[in-house]
Amino acid sequence: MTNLRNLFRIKLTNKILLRLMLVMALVGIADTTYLTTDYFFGTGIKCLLLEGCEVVLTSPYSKMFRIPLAFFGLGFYMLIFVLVSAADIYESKLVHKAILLAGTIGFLFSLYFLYLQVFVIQALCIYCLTSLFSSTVIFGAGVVLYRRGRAL
Amino acid sequence: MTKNNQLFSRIVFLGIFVLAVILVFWIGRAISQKGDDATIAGNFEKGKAVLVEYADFQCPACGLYYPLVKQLKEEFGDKMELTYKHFPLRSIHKNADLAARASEAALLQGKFWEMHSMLYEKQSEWSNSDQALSLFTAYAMSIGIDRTRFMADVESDVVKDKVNRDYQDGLGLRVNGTPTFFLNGKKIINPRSYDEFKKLIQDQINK
Repeated sequence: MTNLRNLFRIKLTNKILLRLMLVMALVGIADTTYLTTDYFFGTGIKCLLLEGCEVVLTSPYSKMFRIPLAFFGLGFYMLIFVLVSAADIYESKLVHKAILLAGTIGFLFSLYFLYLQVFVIQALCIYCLTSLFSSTVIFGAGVVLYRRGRAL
Repeated sequence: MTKNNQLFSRIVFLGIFVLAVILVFWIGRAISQKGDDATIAGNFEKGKAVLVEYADFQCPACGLYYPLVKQLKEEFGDKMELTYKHFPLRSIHKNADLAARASEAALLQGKFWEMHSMLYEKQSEWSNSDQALSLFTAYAMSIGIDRTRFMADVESDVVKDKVNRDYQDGLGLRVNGTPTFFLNGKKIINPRSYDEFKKLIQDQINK
């Protein structure tokens, strides 16, 4: 009975973790969709109340192969959304592994971008920091899920 | 609902979500552009482009546009008239107002554009400095401006009024960020690249 209850508790918490990851993926998707759309059809760079973004987003580091990084970010968050949904629905450990792998890659990239902003470009962009936040939460939740999966 | 269907419906939701974000962005953009009807009145000569820039010397985006505008002026020469208007964002740029006044003080000695270039080229040096005035004085002297007169002019009412007038004009034209460009009186969306900017000017000249 205790075991059953424990199992139930873990499952419930896993559900919450997965939901949290879904929300974070949606935050990331909104963030990167905005930046990608702005890149292609935007109103141009300007200094408004919050600055730094224009410097970061027009720096040579904001693109790879002439494609804005935000576009890759969008792809990443969509992949996370699909993977997390799959983990939620199929409850497969293999998917947990895939989430951990993707989450780690995303997190490492975000850290690298933070390094670029702080030490190379020397300007911070709020949209990039939002993405760092969501990728960190996804990575953290991914690690917890994976470890629980192994413990089960 | 089968598991596959569940996953499918989530993917559909994802698609709708992305489209909704794009839609919100487009609506926001349309609304902000609707407010951009303000124009600068004037008789514009045919075959000539008049570019008015509302800018802040301390704004990084203006710093990014500076080389572009300079190159445009070099390329089009007399066919493009360039007017620089001050729009110092005083609340976020502590030295912007002083920089604007320094350029106006330089104008009184016929060296506005030299000072303008100097301020943008050395933007990172003075932006957060507590010694901005001494830096500006040094820049002024390096381009042959009389120091004593410059120091007095920076603090003069004539110069202060000029900067304030530009700023008020900008507010009247619904300038809400810098740089904001008006091409032959019409506010334009900031071009993304030199080529895009060049094309806009060229099209205006060809009209």
